[in-house]
Amino acid sequence: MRTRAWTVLGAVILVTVIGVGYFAMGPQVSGEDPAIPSDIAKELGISGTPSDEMVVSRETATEVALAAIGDAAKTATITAYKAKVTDPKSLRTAVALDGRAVWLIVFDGLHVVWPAPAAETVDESQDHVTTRAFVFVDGSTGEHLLTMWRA
Amino acid sequence: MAVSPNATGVQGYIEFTNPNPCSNQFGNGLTVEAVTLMQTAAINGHVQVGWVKRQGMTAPKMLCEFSGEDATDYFDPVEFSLPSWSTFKYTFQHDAGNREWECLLNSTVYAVRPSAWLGFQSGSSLNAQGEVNSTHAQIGKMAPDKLDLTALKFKRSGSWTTMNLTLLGTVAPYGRDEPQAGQLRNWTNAH
Repeated sequence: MRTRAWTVLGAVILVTVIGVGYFAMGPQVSGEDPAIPSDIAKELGISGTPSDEMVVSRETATEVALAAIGDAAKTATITAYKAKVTDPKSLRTAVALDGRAVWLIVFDGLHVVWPAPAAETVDESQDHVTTRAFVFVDGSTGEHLLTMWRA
Repeated sequence: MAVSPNATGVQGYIEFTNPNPCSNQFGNGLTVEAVTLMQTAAINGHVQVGWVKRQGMTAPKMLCEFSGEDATDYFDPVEFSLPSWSTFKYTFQHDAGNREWECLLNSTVYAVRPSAWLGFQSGSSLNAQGEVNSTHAQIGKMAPDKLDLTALKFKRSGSWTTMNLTLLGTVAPYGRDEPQAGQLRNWTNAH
C-alpha cells in the first residue's frame, strides 16, 4: 500500500514538472542549437558563432520576427539561432551587422505570394512565391534589422 | 511608362500610411506602395522599392525587391524597419562603377546586389504603383483622402527626369489619378 502511495505521489510530481516546463517554454520554437547550420550560413553568406552578448531572449526575438512576417507565419516552422555576424558579404545594408550579436529567426513552410509589378498587361506567370524567410533581430535591443525572403 | 533609351534608376517620395490589409485564408493580404524599374514592358527582371504592409504586420516596412531576368531565376526581396512614420524618398539605381543595383532610403543605401546576379543593368519600363494582393484590401487612404507618391523621377545618362505617367486601369473600389506631372495618388472608396 505504501509503495503504491509513493508511486502515485511520484507520478503527480512528474506530471507537474512536465506541465510547468511545457507552459514555461513560451512560443513553440524548435531548435536549441545556438550555432547557425552550415547550409544556412552558406546561403546567407555569413558565418556565425554563438554569442554571450545576447540580452534579448529567444521568446522576445521570436515575437519581433513574427510581427515582421505577419499572419503568413502562422503555419510556419520556426527555428531560432543566436550568432555574431562576422562576414555579412551578402547582407550589405545601412544596418551595420558586422560583429553584431543577433537572433536569426528562420521561418520554413511559408506560402507568400509576390505579384509581378504592374505593367501594361497582368502576367501572373511572373508572380513569385516565397517559402522561407530569415529575420535578423538585434540581440541587444530587440530591434528588427532585416528580413530576407527565399523561394 | 516606357522609356527609350533605357533608364538606370527610379525614384519617388512615398507618403507613409498604415493601411489595414484585409485577410485572406493564406495570410497573403498585403498593400504595397512602390516605384519599379522593369527590364522591359513584359517585365522579365525588375527592381522595386517602397513600403509593404502584410496582413498581421503592425506597421509597413521598407521593401527592396531584386528580381532577375527569366534566365537567372533570381528573386531576392529584403525588408527593413522604417526609422519613423514619415514620408521618405525611395530610390533604386544602378551603380555602373561597382556594377551593382542599390536600394536607398533618402540618401542611405540599404541593400545592394551585383547586377550580374540579376542579369540586367537598365530597363525600358517604369511604374509608380499601389498594389494589393487580396480581393478586398485597403490601398493608400480611404477616400476622400489620397495617398501621395510625389517627385516621381527616373535616371538616364546620369540625370534625373520627371516621370510622365500613363494611368493604367484599376478595379473598384480603388481609385487613382495624376494631379500633376511626377505625382500619383491612390485611395480606397470602401473597405
